[in-house]
Amino acid sequence: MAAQIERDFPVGHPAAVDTVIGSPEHLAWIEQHKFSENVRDFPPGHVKAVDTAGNLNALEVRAGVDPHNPHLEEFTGRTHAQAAAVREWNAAEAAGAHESPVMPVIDSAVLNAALAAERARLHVDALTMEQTQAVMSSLQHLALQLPVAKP
Amino acid sequence: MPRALEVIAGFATNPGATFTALTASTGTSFTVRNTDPNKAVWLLDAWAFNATAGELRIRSTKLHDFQQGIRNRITAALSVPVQGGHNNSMYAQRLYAQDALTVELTGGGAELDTASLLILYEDLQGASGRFIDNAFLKANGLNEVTIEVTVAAVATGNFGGAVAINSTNDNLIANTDYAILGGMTDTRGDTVGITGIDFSNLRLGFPAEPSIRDTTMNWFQALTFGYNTPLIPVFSSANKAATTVDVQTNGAGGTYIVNLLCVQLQPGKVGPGLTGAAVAGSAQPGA
Repeated sequence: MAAQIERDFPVGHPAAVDTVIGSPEHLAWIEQHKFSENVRDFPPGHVKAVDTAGNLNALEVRAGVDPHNPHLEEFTGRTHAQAAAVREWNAAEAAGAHESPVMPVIDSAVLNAALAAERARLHVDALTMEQTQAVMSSLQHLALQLPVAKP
Repeated sequence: MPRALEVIAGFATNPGATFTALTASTGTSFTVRNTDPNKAVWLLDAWAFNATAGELRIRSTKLHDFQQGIRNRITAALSVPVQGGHNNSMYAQRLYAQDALTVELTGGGAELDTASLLILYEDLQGASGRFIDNAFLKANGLNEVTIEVTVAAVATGNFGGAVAINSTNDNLIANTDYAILGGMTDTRGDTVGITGIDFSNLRLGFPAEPSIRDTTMNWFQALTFGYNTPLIPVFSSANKAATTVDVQTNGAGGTYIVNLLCVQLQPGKVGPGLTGAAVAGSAQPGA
């Protein structure tokens, strides 16, 4: 098994033991590391370097838009056909949906006591919505009204 | 101390670049409920759901100023908190009984834009909820359980599609208390609401934002941490049929699968009106 040679520094590095200053290897190393002295933006060949062909530096990044897939709908990432289908589906669902009922605001301690009594009377663990509503109706006179601004 | 938590919401139709006062969703009002003036009312959080970026402005003559007040940029299609500072330390805005808040939005010129405010009443006579803190939760929690429901929202800017928490899976243990730590939604909207007898039929809520599930999943627990006061709601499974989940969103409607992260509590530990330390008149809730 051949002995493994462990380098002290990369080829061309000025501190490497085998670097000849001014050699092609040394000059290549300098070229690759100019960016660290702010002489250029990125190393030659880097995907973000301004002189790399095909770089995406000018790609506009907007909120909600996948810059690599600008044909997709913003925020949802769906194709326009998918997005239209979802909108159609949601509109149909919303047309069939009901607004939530406004429940009477009654002190939970009072209401729970009344519901516990009803559960005990009916010998059940839980009341149905209809049975609960019947109890709430009987306590409607205790319900808080929507607030009114102070004149 | 009959403490109550309530989320109130509203919508603006085609506000465009003009600040437009929100129309309160049915059953809610931007006027603060009447309380003993010595008992504090707090604006804990606020968020908005705009299809087009805009501004949410909350102002009142009783708050800092009536010109701009609490004014925050709302980025498009992102229902995240813009007031209070959810997670870690939070700062609540003091509100005043019967004060009519002016809540306005700018946004798109051809859309319904929506916003919500989360309000804590330290002592609301005639209504109370059961709220615990994290220490109580850790001492009395038994098992995690997830409640999953599917809500079909309406497209009017009101809360809609209310379904009972046992409508999908009826797996809660009978006559058992459950703490709601928070919840998650798979679809973007303005607010997920939770209404129930154990909250005096006042609606609790969190942002319907699927991209911040790590924030909403323990929303009430985080509020409890941030404000250092009990804000984790507790309900009894005996009231499961009358404890509902609904959604408020914009004119696009939508179908929402909502998960509520709950913890089963030891029986008989959470009494009526249990809310922790009295904080009336303090500088901040929990202070």
